[in-house]
Amino acid sequence: MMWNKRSGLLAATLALTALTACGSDSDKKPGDPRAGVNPAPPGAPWETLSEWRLFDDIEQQKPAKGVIHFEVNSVLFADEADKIRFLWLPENQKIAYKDVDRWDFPVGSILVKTFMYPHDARDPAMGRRLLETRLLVREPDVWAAYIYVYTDSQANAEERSAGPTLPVTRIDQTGATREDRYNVPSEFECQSCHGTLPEMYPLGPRTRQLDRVNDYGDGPENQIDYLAKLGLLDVSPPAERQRLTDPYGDGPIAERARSYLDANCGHCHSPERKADSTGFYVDYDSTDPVRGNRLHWGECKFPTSAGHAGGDLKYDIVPGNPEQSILVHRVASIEPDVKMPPLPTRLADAQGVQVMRDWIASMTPRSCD
Amino acid sequence: MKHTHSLMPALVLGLAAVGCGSDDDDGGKGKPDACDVRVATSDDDRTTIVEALGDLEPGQTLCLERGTYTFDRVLTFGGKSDITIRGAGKSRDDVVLDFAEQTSGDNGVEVEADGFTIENLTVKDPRGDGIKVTRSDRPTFRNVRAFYSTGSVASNGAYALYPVESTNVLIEDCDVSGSSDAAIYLGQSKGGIVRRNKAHAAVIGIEIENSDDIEVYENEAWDNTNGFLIVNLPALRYKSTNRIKVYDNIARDNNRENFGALFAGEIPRGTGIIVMGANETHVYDNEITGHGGPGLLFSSWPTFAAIGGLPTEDTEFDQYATAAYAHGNTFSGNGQNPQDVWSEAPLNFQTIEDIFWDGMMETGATAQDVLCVKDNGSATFRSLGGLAGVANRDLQSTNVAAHDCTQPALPPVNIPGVDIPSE
Repeated sequence: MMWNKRSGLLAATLALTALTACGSDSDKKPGDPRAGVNPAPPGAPWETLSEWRLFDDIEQQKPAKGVIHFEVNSVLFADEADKIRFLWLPENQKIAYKDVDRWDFPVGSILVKTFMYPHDARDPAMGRRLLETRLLVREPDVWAAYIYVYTDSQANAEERSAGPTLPVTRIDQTGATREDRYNVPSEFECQSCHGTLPEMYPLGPRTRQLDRVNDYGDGPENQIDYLAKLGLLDVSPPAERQRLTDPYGDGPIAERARSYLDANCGHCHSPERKADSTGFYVDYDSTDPVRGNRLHWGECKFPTSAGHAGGDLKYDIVPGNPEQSILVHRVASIEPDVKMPPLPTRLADAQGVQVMRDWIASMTPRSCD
Repeated sequence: MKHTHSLMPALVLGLAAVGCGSDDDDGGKGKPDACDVRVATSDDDRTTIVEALGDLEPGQTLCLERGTYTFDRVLTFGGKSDITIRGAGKSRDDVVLDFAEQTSGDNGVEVEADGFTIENLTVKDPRGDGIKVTRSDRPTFRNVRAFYSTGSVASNGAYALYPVESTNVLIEDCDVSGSSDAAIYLGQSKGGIVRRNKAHAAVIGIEIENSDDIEVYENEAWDNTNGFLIVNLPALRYKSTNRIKVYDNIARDNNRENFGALFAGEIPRGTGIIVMGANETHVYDNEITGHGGPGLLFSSWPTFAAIGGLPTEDTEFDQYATAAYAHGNTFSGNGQNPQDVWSEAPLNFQTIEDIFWDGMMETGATAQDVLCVKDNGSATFRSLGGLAGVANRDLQSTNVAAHDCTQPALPPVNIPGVDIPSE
């Protein structure tokens, strides 16, 4: 891990210990998926993704036994890249289930997220390019983040702590050929959203994101019920659950906006998080129409630190008037000193911008002056 | 550098560290020989520096050899304590972090880590903010120059040195210019020292915002729209500003046309030192000269909102300045060419006094609770008499004797390892 570099000798010793500790059976070589998931020693991640043995087939993203696929209700925009997510718990361990707060994972847990672009977004059969797999590992003292960038063959990925910028060529949903740059975050940058060490934490796995239907081979099944069935939760989860609505679905626009804001902005724009100083809070709790404060989510609030990023506009949200609202202006921009979120993405989320516009347009109009 | 389990990289680094103390070191204000890792410019400066930062142990120093380091993306660092990034040239001009080509990230350098120090280098053309340090204890900016090759234009970034929500902040011996908001900023922080800096050609030279216990001394601010701003702003996390000392500074000729936006864009040019909505602000022994408007302004938020035109719905923040104390300041050549809000309707001043107070008092407060003015030589004084005085000049007053009082000295700000004079 970046902050916990050990001397070369100590690391070599640990590596040897890890290898021999995996057992001496001749068919349990490192990289052999039949040997089970192979966590690295804390602070000393494997150089390549295959050594973790999280996948039976990396190129196909076929998870190993015990590595569980999951999806979220509200997706964080990633420059139009697709994502596939997994979680793994060590044997006999359980997640501390929480109704509202983030779930507590036991030491040893691994969260996995692979980013990829379809070659042609209109046609999955054309295949895809795997970009990176990010791991969040619950080590004894901290959650540790390790990022693996795929080789050209996509058979494996190598740890790249400094976050390379990848040129990408693809055909998007409209059929246009896109040549962009894709930012793989540095492992330092994981802290920008996941909290500063030693207090990093996962963002996705919580009730309101996970309460949805998936298919684990036996037909549609609620993800939380499935995890409970596997014995991975410490309690029997209640039937009534907080759930983020699909931002692009049929729900009421205010709920869709809250869902989008929570997943795309709330990890920084909430109390005690990175953009705490701004007083602009749009996590799900802060946008509660009853318990929240409309000044917090930006109604008639002029930003004090945005500088020229607000364009000629004055207020974060002018109710009823999206085009006068700095919120719309900033999430629609690709200028690096204007765009929100500021990193790691380079593109604007056109779908998300529309949700923001529709939401502000739905508010009872009033002047902020 | 990848994590490896071999000895070779550790050996290589060790040899490089042993090679320290070359005559490139400036023998300056840091520890000249403490370069635990050195890097030079490369094809990918961000990667080189990030990997080097990853290899540091807490408490160590990364030295940048002379040269220009260019960035396409923000340089992000966090979670490892007491790290120093030092330019290892003969002067800070020799090591340049150039953000002119940045296409991603809204700051040049973005840090969240305790005890972080950046020193002896230059930051050039940050697209957004320059060096931002958030939610950290003991950040230090020392002997840093930050500037814009574009001159002072609206598209420049807002803040060049930008500590926020931090504690025990030290900004010293820096030279910052061209920012479209505050060149040197310290906001929503507790405990700080801003000293011996130069701030020029920006909208605001030095700004202290929604913070407690800050000393601002021996700085020089010139050719800004406004030299020094001590302010409490609405709708932020922290709701008041208290115990700010502004002393032994030079504020001169801050008459630049305002090229900022939003709140900064409302600041009237030609105003030397502004104290707005802050409590226990002591402004003393400063030289305040050559401003077209007032050299020293004390105001509360309602006046600004009424005249500046930026209303707020925040009812929780502290709107009123109290317990301000101005003494021993030298004024000359101020107030002969007021501009912007001073000269426009509804104020319509054709000349204006050295010291200007808006006359706002919270219910139950007296004039001396709010402002003491003593021993400022022959400085002239005007009170607006509150918002009613805008329309009715009879309510305005030039009677400075009404403010002939003193305030007890503020306690010194204690930052570990930093000596300061007492008031």
